[in-house]
Amino acid sequence: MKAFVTCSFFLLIVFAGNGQDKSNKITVTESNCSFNISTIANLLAGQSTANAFSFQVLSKANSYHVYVKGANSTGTTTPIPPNKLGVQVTSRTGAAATYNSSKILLSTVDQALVTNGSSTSTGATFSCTLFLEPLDFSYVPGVYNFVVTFTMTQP
Amino acid sequence: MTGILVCVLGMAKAQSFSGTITPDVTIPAFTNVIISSTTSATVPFSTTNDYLNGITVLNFNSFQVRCNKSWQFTIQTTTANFTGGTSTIPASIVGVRLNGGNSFYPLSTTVLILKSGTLGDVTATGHSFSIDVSANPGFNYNGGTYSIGLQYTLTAQ
Repeated sequence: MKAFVTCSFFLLIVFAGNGQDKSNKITVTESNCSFNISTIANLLAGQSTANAFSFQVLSKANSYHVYVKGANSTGTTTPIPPNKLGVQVTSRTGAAATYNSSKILLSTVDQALVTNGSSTSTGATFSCTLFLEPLDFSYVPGVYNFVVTFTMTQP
Repeated sequence: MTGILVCVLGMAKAQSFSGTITPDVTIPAFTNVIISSTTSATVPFSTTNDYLNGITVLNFNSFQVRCNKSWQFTIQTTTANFTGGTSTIPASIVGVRLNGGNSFYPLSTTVLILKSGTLGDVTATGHSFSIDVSANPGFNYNGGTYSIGLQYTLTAQ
């Protein structure tokens, strides 16, 4: 008599999600992130906007970090590189965290803005200045669109 | 035989969460030219040779162009004839060329293209240049002081 062997496997795959939840998230709020260059002096001198945006972090975990990176602009035939934009964290409210208060010129790789943030369920909010570095005449007229990404990581 | 295979992927990795802002920069067309001169705008005719050969002034005016589009630089006179004096002297007794060029082109109220270029600062190739002028009225006009306006125009294309 043949023996029948039944093999049953239950496959359970659990992915670590990157989706935000109520307790762990970063919320970025724009106030004024537009630069409208009206004069040659503006073009050559650069501009900055205080409190251009803020980001709030909720984190169950201690020692979270926040990084920022940019990319070339889109929308014209002469892209502006990300290092023509800069961000500076000027203040923090809420849970403790160490932040880099210097101006950071963006690149396509992550640079640390906040390190070793304390866990918080009520949030830590960071206010930021946005900088446009001096430009020159190598950029054609038009609207240049950027995407700046903030990433909060937990250990 | 029953087994349970549990694959837990990525749980040991750090979690990350992200958000973005979308800055924008609006840049209009900018055209700017700096005109300078190291020579006098007065061309005196004082010898017979001046009348026979005319007078050429090298680097009469110099220009530095800044533009964030392709551009065209032109010259024309503001009037068809010189003013002053007792003769009617046409603008065409004055010719102009880019410094070092071969031929002088007579001036008039019609636009004459001196140079064109692509976007860039004054350090870009061809954005700094000068012109030579040559005045040759011959013996056809009464003596006197005559003047005419030169109009330079930089246009973004």
